Amino acid sequence: MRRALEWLLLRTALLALQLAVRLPRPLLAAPLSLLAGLAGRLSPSSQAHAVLADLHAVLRDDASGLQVLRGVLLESRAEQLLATARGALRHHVLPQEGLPRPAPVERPAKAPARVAVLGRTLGADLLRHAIDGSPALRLLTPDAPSQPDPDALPRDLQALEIADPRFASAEFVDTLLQRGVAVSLHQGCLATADMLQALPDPHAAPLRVLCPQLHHPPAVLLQELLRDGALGELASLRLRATVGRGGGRLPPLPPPEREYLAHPAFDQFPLLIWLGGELARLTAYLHPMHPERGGQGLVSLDFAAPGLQGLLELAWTPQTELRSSHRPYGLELEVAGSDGIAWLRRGMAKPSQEAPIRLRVGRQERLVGQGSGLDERWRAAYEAAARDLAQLIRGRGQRPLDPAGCIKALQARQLAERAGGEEEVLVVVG
Amino acid sequence: MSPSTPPFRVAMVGVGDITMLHAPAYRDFDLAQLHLLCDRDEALLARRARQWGVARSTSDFQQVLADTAVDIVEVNTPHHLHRPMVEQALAAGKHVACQKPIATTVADAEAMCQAAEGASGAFRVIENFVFYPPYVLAKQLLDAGEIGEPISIRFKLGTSFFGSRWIPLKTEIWHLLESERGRGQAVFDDGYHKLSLAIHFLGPIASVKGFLGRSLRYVDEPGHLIWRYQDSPALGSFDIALSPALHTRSDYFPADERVEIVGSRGSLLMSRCTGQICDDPPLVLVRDGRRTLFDDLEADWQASFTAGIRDFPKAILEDRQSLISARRATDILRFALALIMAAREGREIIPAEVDDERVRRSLQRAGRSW
Repeated sequence: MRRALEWLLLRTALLALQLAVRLPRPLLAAPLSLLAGLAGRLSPSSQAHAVLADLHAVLRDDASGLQVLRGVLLESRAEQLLATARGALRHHVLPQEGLPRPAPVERPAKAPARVAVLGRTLGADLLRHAIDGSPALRLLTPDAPSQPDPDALPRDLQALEIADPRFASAEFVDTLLQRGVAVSLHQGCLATADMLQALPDPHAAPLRVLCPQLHHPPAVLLQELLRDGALGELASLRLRATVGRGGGRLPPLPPPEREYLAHPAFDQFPLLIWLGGELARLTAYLHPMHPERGGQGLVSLDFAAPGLQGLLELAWTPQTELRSSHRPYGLELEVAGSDGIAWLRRGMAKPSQEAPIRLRVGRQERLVGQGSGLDERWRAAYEAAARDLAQLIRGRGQRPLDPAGCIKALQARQLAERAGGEEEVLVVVG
Repeated sequence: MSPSTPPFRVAMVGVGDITMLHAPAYRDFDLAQLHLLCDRDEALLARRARQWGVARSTSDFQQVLADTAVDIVEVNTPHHLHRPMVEQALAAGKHVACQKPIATTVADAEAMCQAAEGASGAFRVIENFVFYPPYVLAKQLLDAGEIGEPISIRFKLGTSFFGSRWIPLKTEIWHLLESERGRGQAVFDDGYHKLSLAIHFLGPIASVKGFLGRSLRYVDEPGHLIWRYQDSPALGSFDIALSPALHTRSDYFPADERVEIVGSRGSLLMSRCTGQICDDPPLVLVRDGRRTLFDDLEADWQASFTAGIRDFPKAILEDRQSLISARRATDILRFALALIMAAREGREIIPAEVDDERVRRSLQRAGRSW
C-alpha cells in the first residue's frame, strides 16, 4: 500500500514537472527567483540555497539550461526518472527501511521421499550427504547402472538426481518422467540445451536443473534483496569467477585451453539470468587458458531489461590460493542499481574473511555476515537443494530457474562461446 | 623560446571549475608560480584572481602569447579550443600543458602531436590519474612482478547525485550537451582518465567491443566495455553504472572509481580516487592468501593534481617527457572513440584504425551530430 501510494505521488509529481518545464523561460525563472530568495533569507549558506540560486541563474541566463532540463524530464525513460526520485526520497528524505530476512526453512514431509543420485562428482557427493541429512528424503543407494537403463533403478524410486553426463539423455529422462519419477539434472551434465529441448513439454513428472549456486544462501539472500528493490532499478551485474591453483581441500579442475565456459566454476549464466532476467545481446573476448600462465575471458552482456547490462569475467590464476572447503573456485558479484551497490563475495571458495554480502545503499552501509544467521558454507547450497528436491517431488515450491530458464542460460553460454571469435555483437534469440 | 629557469611563470588560460584543483599545486612551489590568468568570463576571472592572489589577468589570449615573461601556458579551455591555442602557444615558444582530453577529433590531436614534435618548448597533456599516489604505487608493484603476469584489468565507474559539493550547473550542462555530440562524460571525458590508466598500466590497445547505454536522456551510462591489449595477454574491462541515490562521499565529484588488476599470483585492488563509497584502504595487495593493506598512502584526489601539475616544470628541467605525451594522449583519444563506436555499431573496433570520418559515419548511424 505504502509503495503504491509512493508510486502515485511520484508519478503525479513527475507529470507536474513535465508540464511545468514546457512553460516559457521567464515563467519558470520567476518562481525559482522567489524560492532562491526565500532560501537565501532563511539559510544563506545552505546547499538548498546554492542549488536554487544556481538553477535560477541558469534558467535566466542560459537557453541551453532549459534545453537540458526539458531533455531530462521529457525524453528520459519514465521508469528511470521515477526510480531516481524514489531512491532520493527513500534514502535521503524518509526514514531508512530495514533489510528483508532470508526465507524460512520448509517443514519436512511426513514420509520421506525415496531418492537416488547417479554420478561420483563433488556435487553428487555433496547432494548425497545433504539428502542423507534431510528428514524429508531417504537416500537409496542402488548399484550404479553402467548405462542409462530405467529398469536398472529401484521400482519405488520417487526422484533421481543425475550428476553424470552419461545419464543425461532425453530418452532416459523422459522414460523416468513418464513413470512418475521426479528428475533433477545437475547443471554440469548439460553440454547444450538440446537435451532439455528434446523433452516433451509439459513434463509427466516434475523436472528441475540443479544449479547449486542458486541455492547458496548468500546468493539467495542477494536475489531476495534485488527482487524487493533494495537497490532500486538495476543497472549493472558484474560477476567474476576465478579458478585458483590451491587453497581448497580438493585441487581445481584446470579449465581447458579453449571452450571453457562450461567449466563448473565458469558456468555462471544461470546465476546471471536468475538475477538479471533474459539476455538480449552479448559479445566476448575469450583468451586461451594456459596451464601455467593462466588466462582470462570476458563476456559483455546486454539484458532485455531496459538499462541493465553486465559483465562476466573468468580468470584462471594458476599461482594463487583461494581458501575453500572444496575446490578453489572463487565467485564475486557486484550489482549496481539506482539506489546503490551490493557485493556477493562467497561461492565455493572463501578467499577473504569479509562478510559474504555487503550493501552500500543511499547513505548506509550494511554487512551481512557473522551474527546475521546467514549460512555461508558451500555445503549449505546442497542442503537447500535437497530441501528443494523434497518440494519438487511433492509438486510444491518454485525452482530458482525453471527448465525454460535453464535452456536460455545454456543457449547464452553457447552463444558466448561463439562470440569470442566474432567481430559482431551476437543477439540472443529468446 | 622563453628562458627555462625556475621559477617558471605560468599563464593559466581558462579558469573554469577544474582549475580550482590546479591552482593549489602552484602554492609554495619553488619551480613554478601563477603569473597570469586568462578567461573570456571576466567576472570569473576577477574572482579567481582574487582567490588565488594573482595580480595579472586578461581576457585576450593574444596578450598571453605576447607576454615574454610567460614560460608555461596551461590550456584549460573547452576541448574544441585546445588545438588552436596549443599550436599558437607552442609557436610562440612557450612550454604548454593542456587539460585532457587532448582534443575532440583525431585530426586535431594529430596536428597537436606534430606541433609538439616540432616545437622548442615542451608539451604535455594534464591527466592527473597517472599521478594519483595509490595508482603510482600499484604501477610500481605491478612492474616489480608482485602479482605475477597480469591477466586482467578492470575499471569501475559509478556515478551518483549525492555526497559531494554542489557542482555548478553551468559545468554539468556543458558536459551533458557534449554528449549530444557523441562525447559523453562517462567514456569520452571522465572516462579518459580510466582509459589513460588502462594504457599506462598495460600498454597499447589492440581492439575493443562492448555496450554503452543511455540514462536520463544525456548520460552515457550504463556501459560494459571490454578490450584486448597489443603486447599483453591480459584483457581489460570498464563497467559504468549510474546509482543516482547512492551517497558517494567526495570533496570533488560523486564518483566511485575502482581499479582491479588480477595477475597469475595475486591481485591489486584500488578503491578510491575522486570519491569514496566504502572505508577500504586505497590500495590492497592480495597474494598467497594474504591481504596487504596500504593504509598510509595519500589518497586525497587533490594529491594527483598537485603531483601532476608539479611534474611538468620538473620534467622541463630534467629534459624528459612529462606524463602524458601528445602521442599517448592521441592514443587514449582513439581508444575512447573506438569504445563509443564499438557500442554504437555493435562490433569490434581497432583503435589504431579510428579516424574522424569513421567516427562521423559511426555517430551518424546512431543519429548524432559530430
